Amino acid sequence: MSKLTDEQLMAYVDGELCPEEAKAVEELLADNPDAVARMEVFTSTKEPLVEVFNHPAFEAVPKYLLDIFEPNSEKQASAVTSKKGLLQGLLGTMGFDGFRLSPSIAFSALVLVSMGGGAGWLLGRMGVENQAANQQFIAFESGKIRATGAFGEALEHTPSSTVSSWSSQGNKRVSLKPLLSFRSTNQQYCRQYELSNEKIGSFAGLACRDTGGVWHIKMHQQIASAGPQDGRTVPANGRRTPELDAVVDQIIEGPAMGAEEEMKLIQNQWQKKP
Amino acid sequence: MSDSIRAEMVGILPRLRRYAYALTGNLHDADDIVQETCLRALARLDQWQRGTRLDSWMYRIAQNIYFDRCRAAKVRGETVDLDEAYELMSVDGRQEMENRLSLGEALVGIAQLPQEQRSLITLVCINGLSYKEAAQVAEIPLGTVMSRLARARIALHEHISKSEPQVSSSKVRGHL
Repeated sequence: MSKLTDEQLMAYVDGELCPEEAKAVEELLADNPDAVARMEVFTSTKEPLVEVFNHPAFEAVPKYLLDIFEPNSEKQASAVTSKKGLLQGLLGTMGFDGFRLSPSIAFSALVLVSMGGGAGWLLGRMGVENQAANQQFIAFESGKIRATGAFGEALEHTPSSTVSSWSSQGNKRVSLKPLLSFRSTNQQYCRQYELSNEKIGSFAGLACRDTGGVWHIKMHQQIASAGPQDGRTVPANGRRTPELDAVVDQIIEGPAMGAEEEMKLIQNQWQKKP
Repeated sequence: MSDSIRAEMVGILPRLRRYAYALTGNLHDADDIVQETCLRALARLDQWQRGTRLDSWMYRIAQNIYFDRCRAAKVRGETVDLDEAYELMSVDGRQEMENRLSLGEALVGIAQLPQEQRSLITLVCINGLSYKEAAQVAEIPLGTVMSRLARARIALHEHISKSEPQVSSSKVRGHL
């Protein structure tokens, strides 16, 4: 007697068999109580699932999702285009040109200012009181912003998920935790990071290393304010950084680096061994 | 874009939300994926081949967005937020009494599966796609759909039969 496979039983339960095949399965089932019992695996994972997911909550589509499809919404069309333009512009000023862009939800809330004339914006966001303090760890050079001092060192040497910290002026702790490293489509190594300043709060950012070994800050945005009592930070939005994630999605080449690969690069000053 | 395509897309939204919900285990992340899917679908409508299923095409976009996010989240060491699923599990006493499957239980069970299996079981068992349609969404051969789907359902069945309803309203978190 030929044996029924799980796949055959499943296809039978799901009505995926043609009448002849179904008949053949039924004939085999007739004298195979084990297979009949086995069918329970597939019946119990079909209708009951349909039933529990047949919930009115799914039908109640939120308005902001429906608005995407408003026929006369010129606004929506231009929103998609302008988001695209904004990201394109942002990537352009960040030194990433020629990317094929997909508009993304991330940009519905995108309020970033392009970096070209955005030094002031960044200064504000770096969360330091004055430019002198800033110069401790960032420097402006021909429209680019580079990480210097302890910040640059930390980007260069700290493995992802490891925290490296130093003191800012005024003896406040500043700590950097790289979150992931990847190679960008224009062949630079980039790192997404979280920077915390005991006094001001937490920031999410992206830095990329040029061939001369300089880490350039591409994005930097505040994600949390410092807590009032103990100086610890409180996430403002559960540490979601959709804008940053979308930029990473656009410029990442292949998957993000594994820990071992990253460690090798750190040890080798971010040069791939030949 | 014609009004009929627009209307068709709107009609797909509840199924798309169900799909994204089963993948992510919470409505917030699910709607986030749905929104991005809609924007991408509108922007790339020229890539949709007329005569093929619009819903399958949108599922494919959603699936890719989800896989991309999982990859990034995994690297960052983030975990799936299943609190909502566990809450659903602990409040749905009526279904426990009647010994029926609850939504929370189903979500938690699905969350134990590998991502590809999660996607397939949702497409076929919840949203009613045929194996062939699911194969097109996942861009894998029909035979692979069947073997993965069978494995997914065996694992889910085991989870459901073993699970004890009271175990956890605690903050257990499943890894991506």
